[in-house]
Amino acid sequence: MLLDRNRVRFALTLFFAVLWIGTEVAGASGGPKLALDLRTFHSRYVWNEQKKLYELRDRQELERIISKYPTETRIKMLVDCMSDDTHSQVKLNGTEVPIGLICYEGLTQTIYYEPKTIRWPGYLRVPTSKRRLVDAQRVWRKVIRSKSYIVL
Amino acid sequence: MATIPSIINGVQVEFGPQVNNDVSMSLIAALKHCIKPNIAPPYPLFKIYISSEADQHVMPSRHAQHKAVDISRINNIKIAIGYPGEAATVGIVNAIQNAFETCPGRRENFGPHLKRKLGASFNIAGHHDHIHLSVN
Repeated sequence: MLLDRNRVRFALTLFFAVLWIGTEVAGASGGPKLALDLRTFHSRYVWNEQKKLYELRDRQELERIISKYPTETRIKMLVDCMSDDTHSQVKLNGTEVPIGLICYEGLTQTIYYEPKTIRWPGYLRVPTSKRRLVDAQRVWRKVIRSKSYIVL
Repeated sequence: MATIPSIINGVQVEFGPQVNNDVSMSLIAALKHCIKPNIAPPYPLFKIYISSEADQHVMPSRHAQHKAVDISRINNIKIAIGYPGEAATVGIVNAIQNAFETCPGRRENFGPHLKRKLGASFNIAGHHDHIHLSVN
């Protein structure tokens, strides 16, 4: 009986320890925490014939999700999760796009940056690739560090 | 130099926290030309949000010369969110950019509707999320 009680106590302690470590790890960079929130975002990309590009729908709902966090925290979190290539619930031609792309969409409806060149890797066209998302993350990090962005 | 007033033709003007409100008189005259409550019937314009003036940009930007302004919200809605989804935002943004093209002294007119410099099409990245207006 005493042995069973100790086992239960040990199992509970282990469970809460793992839960606590997981929360700490997720909160350390912030990106994973927001990425989890963004997994609840359902939407799709639609083709804009006039502009010849895909546009994200339901941006107001995306804004509702990301605006839970203060602007400066949100910016850092969105850049951090830009390289996350797990599937989101946002579809492009029936296929789920990566969470990193939704982080990019959230970032670019929070701030803007005016580069000197027209081919700046921080601007993405959909569909995109993991490599482009990582490149975009790298240049946006520079922008954030130098505080050369403007809040929309 | 002068400051953009907090009301233009009855339209409220809100400024971002980083904005250095110090611009040329000709820019204010240009704003008076295109910021009007009835610029895009049936959608009333009651408020604009200025995200940048003579700040956050370096030469040769017209911002650094105190001759440019960025508008990023229309009636409290971010252009990044309302354009092209919301009819009122689209109507007002298009009307402001069209009106600016008829303004004497207009130079750059970049936004989701038009990208023009001195009246001619101009290839520039971004500006789907705000309107950039500058004068000579």
